[in-house]
Amino acid sequence: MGDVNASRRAALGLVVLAVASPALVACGSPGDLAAYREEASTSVAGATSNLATIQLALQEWAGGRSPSPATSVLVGDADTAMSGVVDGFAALDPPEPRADSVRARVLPVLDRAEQAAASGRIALSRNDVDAAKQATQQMSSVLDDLDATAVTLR
Amino acid sequence: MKRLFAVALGILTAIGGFVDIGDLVTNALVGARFGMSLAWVVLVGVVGICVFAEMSGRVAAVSGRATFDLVRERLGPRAGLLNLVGSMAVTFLTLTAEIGGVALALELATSVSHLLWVPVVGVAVWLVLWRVKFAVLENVFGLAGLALVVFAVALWKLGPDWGGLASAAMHPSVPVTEDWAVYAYYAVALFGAAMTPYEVFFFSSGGIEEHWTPRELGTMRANVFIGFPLGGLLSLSIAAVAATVLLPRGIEVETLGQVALPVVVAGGKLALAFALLGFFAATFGAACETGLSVGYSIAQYFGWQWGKFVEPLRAARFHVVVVLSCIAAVGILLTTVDPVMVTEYSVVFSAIALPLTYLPILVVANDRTYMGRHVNGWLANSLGTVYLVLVVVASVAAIPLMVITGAGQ
Repeated sequence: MGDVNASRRAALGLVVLAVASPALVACGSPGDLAAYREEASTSVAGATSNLATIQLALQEWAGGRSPSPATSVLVGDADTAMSGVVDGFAALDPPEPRADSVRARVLPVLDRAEQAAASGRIALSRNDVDAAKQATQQMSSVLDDLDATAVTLR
Repeated sequence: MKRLFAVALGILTAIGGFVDIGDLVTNALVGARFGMSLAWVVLVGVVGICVFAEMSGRVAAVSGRATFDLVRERLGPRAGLLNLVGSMAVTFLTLTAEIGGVALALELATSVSHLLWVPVVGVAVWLVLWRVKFAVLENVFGLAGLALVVFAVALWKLGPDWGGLASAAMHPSVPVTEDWAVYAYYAVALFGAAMTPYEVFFFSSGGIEEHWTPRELGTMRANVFIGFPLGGLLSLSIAAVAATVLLPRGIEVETLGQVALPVVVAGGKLALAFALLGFFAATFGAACETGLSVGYSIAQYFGWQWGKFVEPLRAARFHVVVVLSCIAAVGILLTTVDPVMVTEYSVVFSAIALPLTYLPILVVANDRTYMGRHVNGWLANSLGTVYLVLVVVASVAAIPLMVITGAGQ
């Protein structure tokens, strides 16, 4: 979904250029602390969405309630999206020293979310139900951390 | 008895055929993000599509001619061309989204990449449009689309807080975590998904394909006024299961798999099988309808022979348009553009093109030259006028809202 988000931005950019270029000028460039916090908040929400998707899909699969093909598509899509979210935020430079603390808070949680997603993906590809159950438990704690981080960014 | 069977079949296919990729994605997305606070838009959209589908069906049954045929004649070639370009562009975008939706459904069933399925689906859609009879096409996919009733069953099995869902639906408000502009953007998208232009082109042209006369007006009205609202309930159940399962977990819908996830939670593998069958039937049926609608609109505008009621050789230009549309849609999807993103844009652009579709229908339905004693009455005209104002507002607001919200980000 990182690719998806990139495609979304590209497509939106074309629409904007075609029909509303004056509006672009009026909106200005988001390079300040508030915009950076907004990006951080969006990234945390994206990571939460993708990790919760993987967790729910794996729980259903481990309980024998979801077939492997559909689960692997769901987990694969969410895992790809998770990487896009993490890489996207990591590539953003903090615009000023005060933004360093935002980066220091958010990036480690996003990295843990990416690791947890990878653990789930690997368990599924190995058809290892016990490892999948363990991964979903790990995801619960990471999701709590993501929630706590989101609160600090509001 | 035969007539009763025809009415029942028509209603069932109208229910199954009501939901397409735009309804699936948009309702799940909105349910997961706003709960039931946008349910009122589905209600408004369903009443709107009923009003204009009845009008276009009546025009077809009484005049024996389809929408674009009359639009060009009544409004002149220039206005007709504007109507044709706007409506056809949106219908083609919808065709692309539907073919992508079929490929995504097959990917979920097989775990084979949707990009490998896209050309197969494109060829299959073209073959069906070329070889299969209109009635078979409409009935088979419409009835198979009823598998989506699994979303309503899933909602019942999930045992949600019914009072909370009803309260959110009846007292709509912008959630505290969301901006009003994003709320308005998704309201427009949902409205566009419910009132997609191709539905009326297909409905009126389908009336000609099936040789409707004024005697069929009762059956047509039963299909519209019973089938479409029940289809709208299916849309609401998709939003409700997303609000019950996905919203509390912070899951935002960006893939077709996420649309199906609440059904898995409620009913496991069997429920998922029904959901996938429903996805396939709804999107394949809609791909056929949009493919035909592109052909209908161009052929009717230029006065070419069209339709599946004649042999393909006698409507060669119509079939060429259909096959070229399928090829172009497949080509766009093979650029690796995300079909869900195409869907999201298609419903918003549908909203933009709505006045181009619905104004001419209202004009033609008021013309006694074509309609005789079946011309619009006061109720149809009152509702039609109110909805014309609504579609103009949605159309004007769509692009600014898209820009302000970054396409609902």
